[in-house]
Amino acid sequence: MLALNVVLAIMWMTLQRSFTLADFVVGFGLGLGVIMLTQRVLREQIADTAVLRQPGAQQGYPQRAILWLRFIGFALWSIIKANWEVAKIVVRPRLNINPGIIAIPLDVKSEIGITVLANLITLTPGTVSLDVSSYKDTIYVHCIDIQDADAIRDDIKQNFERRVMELFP
Amino acid sequence: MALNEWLTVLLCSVGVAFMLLSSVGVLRMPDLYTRIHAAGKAGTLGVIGVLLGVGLYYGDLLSAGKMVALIAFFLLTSPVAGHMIDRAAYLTGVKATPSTGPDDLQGRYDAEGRLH
Repeated sequence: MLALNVVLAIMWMTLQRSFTLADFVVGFGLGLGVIMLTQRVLREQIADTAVLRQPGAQQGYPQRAILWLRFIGFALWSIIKANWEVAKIVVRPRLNINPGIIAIPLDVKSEIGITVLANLITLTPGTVSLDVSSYKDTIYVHCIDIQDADAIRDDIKQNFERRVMELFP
Repeated sequence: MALNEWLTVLLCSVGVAFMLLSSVGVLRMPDLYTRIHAAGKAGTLGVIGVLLGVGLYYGDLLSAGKMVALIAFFLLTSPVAGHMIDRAAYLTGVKATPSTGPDDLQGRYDAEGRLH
């Protein structure tokens, strides 16, 4: 928490473009406020990641860094594709779309994993995540144009969930 | 004009074009759920394009860093907003456009709004 607070103070100074003691104190104070407001969630998250970091649960740092870079690249590419797909639907002269909600079973277990997956689904072609069941075993997704529900389900499970699970089990 | 000015113009134009498409989408789509797609998606690339253009225009590392941070925050928050609006609309019973698509959520909520 202290390390996070110092990082927040340094970020504040960088964005202010002035590195005086007064700026550090102001940044530290603001950071303290942010941490106080988010303390409960932060603590849960730290406990959550501690579970993920159990021995044998994951690979070493270099492999993880490569996985992260690949994941970010994949996410950015998906966002560009999503924008293009939705833009194409918008300029269709006749709107013959077929929207609906489909259920997708979840294999990813951790809360952070589900959060990342839900965000990724919302950012990518024609799908917005609506809700997750209370047992965290199904995610409900609104699709703008369903041609083949099973194809969408497979795509999300094969592409998104597999990549998310490489980072968060 | 210098090369980076051309690139700035190009990036901002692409961004603004996507924002325009997104607004057209909001007007053309039949119901709230599909409008979220248009507003939340086509808008993302619009914001990214304009912000990258601004970062390139100032050309120094700090401005570029700020723009990258802004894009990161935007990508983290915009899907959450879309998801929350969609979910709130579904829970309060906003009608979807009649279509042949499935609705796997139908009847899944109990009286307390818990999802099984």
